[in-house]
Amino acid sequence: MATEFTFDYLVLVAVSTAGVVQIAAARNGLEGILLLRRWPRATEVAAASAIVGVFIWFFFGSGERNLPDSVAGLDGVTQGRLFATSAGLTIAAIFALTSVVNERWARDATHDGGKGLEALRTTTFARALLSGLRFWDKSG
Amino acid sequence: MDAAIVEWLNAAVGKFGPFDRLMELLMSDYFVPVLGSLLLIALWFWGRGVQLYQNQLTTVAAISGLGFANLAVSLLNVHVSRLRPFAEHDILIAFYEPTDSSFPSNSAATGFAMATAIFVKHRPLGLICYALAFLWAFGRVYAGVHYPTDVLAGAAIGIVASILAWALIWGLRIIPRVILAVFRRLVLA
Repeated sequence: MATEFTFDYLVLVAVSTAGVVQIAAARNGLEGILLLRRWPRATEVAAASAIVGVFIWFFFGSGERNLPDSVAGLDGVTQGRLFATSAGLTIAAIFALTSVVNERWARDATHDGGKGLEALRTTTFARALLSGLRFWDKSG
Repeated sequence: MDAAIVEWLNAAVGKFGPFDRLMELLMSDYFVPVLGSLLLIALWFWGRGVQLYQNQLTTVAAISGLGFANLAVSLLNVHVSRLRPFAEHDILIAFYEPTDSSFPSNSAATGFAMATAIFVKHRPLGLICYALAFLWAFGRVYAGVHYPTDVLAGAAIGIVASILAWALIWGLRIIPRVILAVFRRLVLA
């Protein structure tokens, strides 16, 4: 029971985090981490629908949610830890996946390191990371 | 007075089903915290240049404020023990029966810490977060699991915790700047 609840919570966090990151990327021109780079508007709509859908599923469609942590619920510390883990892994997965699917688009662009997330407007995470580390090496 | 308010609000429990369902959602352990945390993730990626940097500082302040608030509540729980309203009065509980101290309210501390950290830099968004924090706390009183003074104390702790977090960020300006510079190099900020 506790495992099922924990799993549901991890799914809620993973799906909604992916949705939020895709909406933020589409709205702020971070094309390098867009899963559907050519269709930012469609990405926003799909991401918003996924967030609303997963919230409805979690709170209304998959059983009682107001449960004490002594039965099946999660205490505050566990909840925070699971949120950080699930959200962190989801963001890492998005960065890795988009580095592959957007590789051809990013191939011709040249970059200076150290721009941080703003580099993702013109390149992928993997390429921006390599540029950043190279730049660090040179300046160090 | 404290008990009278709980009893007065709690008298409405079970009278109007849809309102009870809405309160169940708002007072849930997961709805407001997940929504707030998603907002912090969005802020981390939102904006350009200085705006992006300020948004990321907001996220750092909110996480620090939440940490301070939870620490304060945990320390208070060691020294203060107060029975929940449903354990002392004849009321209809609309939530599960928590076993820890009623005072101070951890949910109010969490909600108001997050709202305050955001309000410092983003007034309209912060006001929406205050409204959510208020509804979360209100729901707990309505359900009979907190007295009004529990949530007032929790809210005060949350507000002070986030102001302290921002004061530390402003005071120790160089530390967040160095941390965010390292994150920027790793394309994480």
